[in-house]
Amino acid sequence: MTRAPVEEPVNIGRPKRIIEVEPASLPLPEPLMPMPEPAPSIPETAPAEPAAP
Amino acid sequence: MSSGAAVANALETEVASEPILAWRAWALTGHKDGSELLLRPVAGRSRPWKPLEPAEAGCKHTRLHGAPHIGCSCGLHGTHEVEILRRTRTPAVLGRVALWGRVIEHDFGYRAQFGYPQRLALVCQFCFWIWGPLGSRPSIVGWFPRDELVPLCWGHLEVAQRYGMEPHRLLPAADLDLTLRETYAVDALAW
Repeated sequence: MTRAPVEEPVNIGRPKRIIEVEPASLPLPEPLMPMPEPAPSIPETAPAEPAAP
Repeated sequence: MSSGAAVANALETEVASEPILAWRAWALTGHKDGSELLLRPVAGRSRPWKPLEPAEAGCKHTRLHGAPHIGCSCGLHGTHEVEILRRTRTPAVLGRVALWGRVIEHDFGYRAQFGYPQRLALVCQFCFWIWGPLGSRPSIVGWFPRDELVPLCWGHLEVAQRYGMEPHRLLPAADLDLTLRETYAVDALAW
């Protein structure tokens, strides 16, 4: 039976060994972090009047 | 016992904790404005490598076995050396790929269960066939029906047009190269 592969770009020869690769962390890019919302601007408050004696 | 199982039993099995790095070539599709870029296998283009997700191997015989299977040619392919990829039929993108999960090492490369690109670069397929990776930087990317994108140098664009391979639209290769790397969040391939 001829098996049709999903992909076979070039001939890579005969199988030599099997490697079970269990990486501690996956080699994927970090998730794209959304930009933090700018902090709402705080209106400047006038300095407090000195308390009347 | 099937022949595949017999071969598997004859091969040594190792365990590794670091992904395997290999060379690989892809085809490229995208919209005519250069958006929605997707890496695809050069054969069997129906299964794209989605951005920011690991690619997982599949097989037409998935009811019979998982991929990669020792008695089949299924799995995500990568090669030890870049030179062997010059035999690829229609490469548009060249890169380094990380492979993990179940990986079967062959004489000249690997077949793996999972993979994700690590470094990418567009290549003019004709230059790559003739001169290898060092002389294959494209200048433009031709857009063809069915969203096929073909990077070409100026010289090979002229040759392609002379033989009736007329892109419906031309896009700057430098822009698409950057967009592709941003899409997959990977670095440029060092030449």
